[in-house]
Amino acid sequence: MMAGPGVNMLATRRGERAIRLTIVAIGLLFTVLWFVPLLWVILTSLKPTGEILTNPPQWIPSEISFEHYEKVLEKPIGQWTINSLYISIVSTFLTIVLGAAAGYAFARLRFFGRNFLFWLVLASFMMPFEVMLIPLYRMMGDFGLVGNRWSIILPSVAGPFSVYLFRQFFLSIPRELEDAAAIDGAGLWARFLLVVLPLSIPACVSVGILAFAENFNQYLWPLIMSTSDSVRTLPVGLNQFSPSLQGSTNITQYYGMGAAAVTMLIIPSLIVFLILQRFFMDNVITSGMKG
Amino acid sequence: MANYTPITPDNRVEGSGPPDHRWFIALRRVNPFAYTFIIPFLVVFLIFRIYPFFLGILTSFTDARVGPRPGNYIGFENFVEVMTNSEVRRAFIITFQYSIIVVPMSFFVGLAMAVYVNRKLATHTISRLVFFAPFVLTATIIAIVWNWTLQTQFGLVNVGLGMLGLPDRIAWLKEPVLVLPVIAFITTWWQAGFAMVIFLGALQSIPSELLDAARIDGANAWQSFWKVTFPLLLPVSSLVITITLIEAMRVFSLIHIITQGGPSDYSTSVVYYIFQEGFVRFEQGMAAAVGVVLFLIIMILTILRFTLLRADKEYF
Repeated sequence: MMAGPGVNMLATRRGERAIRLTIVAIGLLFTVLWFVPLLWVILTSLKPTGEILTNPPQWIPSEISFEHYEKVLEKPIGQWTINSLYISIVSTFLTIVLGAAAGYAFARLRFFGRNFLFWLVLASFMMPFEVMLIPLYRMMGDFGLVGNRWSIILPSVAGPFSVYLFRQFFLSIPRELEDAAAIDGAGLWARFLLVVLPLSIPACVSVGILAFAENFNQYLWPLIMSTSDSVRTLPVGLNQFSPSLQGSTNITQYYGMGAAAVTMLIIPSLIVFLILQRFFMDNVITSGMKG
Repeated sequence: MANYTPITPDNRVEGSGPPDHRWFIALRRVNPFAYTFIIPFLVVFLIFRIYPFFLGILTSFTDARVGPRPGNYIGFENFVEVMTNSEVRRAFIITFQYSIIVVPMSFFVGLAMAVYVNRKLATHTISRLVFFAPFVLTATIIAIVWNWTLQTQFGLVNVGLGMLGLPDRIAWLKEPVLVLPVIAFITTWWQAGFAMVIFLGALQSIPSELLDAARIDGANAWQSFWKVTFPLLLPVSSLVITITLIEAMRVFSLIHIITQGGPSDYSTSVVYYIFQEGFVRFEQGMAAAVGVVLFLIIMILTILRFTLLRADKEYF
């Protein structure tokens, strides 16, 4: 029998719809699976100890229990949080201020050694932090900064990415605005602070989010520098809840505490992410640049 | 005729006046105030980035151990050791093996996610948020969550396999063959959202006319993806690959928290080796030498990355 073209097309369309529905179903399945580990940890943190290690797993706790949170709070988790926030906020602030000023100089001003210095900034993208671990560790000892939060702040402020991003951003601002201000007699700093910076809020937000996330999440250097709880950051402190790292065979006691500790950080992280999600996702593109 | 704005030399914005070519004129126009912009950053940058870098190279030629003593110059001994020491070689091989697994894994997962969520439906928006969410979490969280999800007896993965009637006593993190793919999988779960967002940006900049044209010519979705969309994603793909590769070469935090390089060094990456050598065994000269070799590898990759960036200005 001859099937008309219309019939064929209908068949393909029906086939395509079936395929599309299958794809959506698979996608939703993956979305759920992707989130299950986090959900599981959050639920577990609220279970009484007896319900944590069961097979088959018990998803919903029979009663909400905060015993693990109480145990976690025996650790100086507040101090770690303060350290992390202090280090991240101060570093972010300095990264924006120093980066914007230097980026402006590289974008607009001429001074002796400018090209060489900018080349040096670009070249430093190639220097992995791991090469500097040993010398920085020794320098911090010489400077007497071991056990001081500035030992973590200073190396991260020294990173080149904010200077580079600010320079690129300032190059995209029309010069005419600054020329107009110059004609009106504004000096360099007046032009920078009153004309350029107000136009650069988006760049500052980008750099700020990137720098904050980078600082808050850094692990290796704070780990080396964390000689005591007075400098220990949250990511480093929380590793005390990893049974394998602590060389513990009694895994059971770690599960509830680990879940509670991790949940205390997951919840605020996810809330901040949901509020700033647009910025986060936009900034991923920018962060292709960060070193 | 170009407009001439009468701006005094130390007031001018670069490039706004007539061009000049002679360096002494240029020098006369240097604004001393320019240095007030650059010096604060420069001081921190030179002391805490450039100086330690060169000091790291110098240290790699010494037998420095921990303590104030800078160590004696021993020439290329550390580098000979890097070449001949089987532990160091192994750390490099393991890091390469890990990279070979993790780079394609996060590339294709990220690409699939981007293609999937590239529609304005509510469910896709939720998926996009869920896929990206792990990326904002810190390494310790990822490590603790997965250490546990992959636990042999009660871990969710094995429990799930058991419910499907599959082998459910797999020691995911203790099998030499499995440990690198498993860490690569965890990294993918953690960071594929990054690749997804970059691909998504590229996908959304593809003109819909091209896909319409393909459809009119009778291409199905599969064909038009591989024949039209994918070639247009190539520039951004090479960028994603380079960035993931650089990150893979520096893998440390998950290994430190989950496996401590084990089982028996099967997950000792280069940076984990540097950490052990420099801060546990205190052979800091040797640790610096391994760092220098890592630098050479990353330098090549970074040059590649910047070359690609320049070729792909549109997105950056």
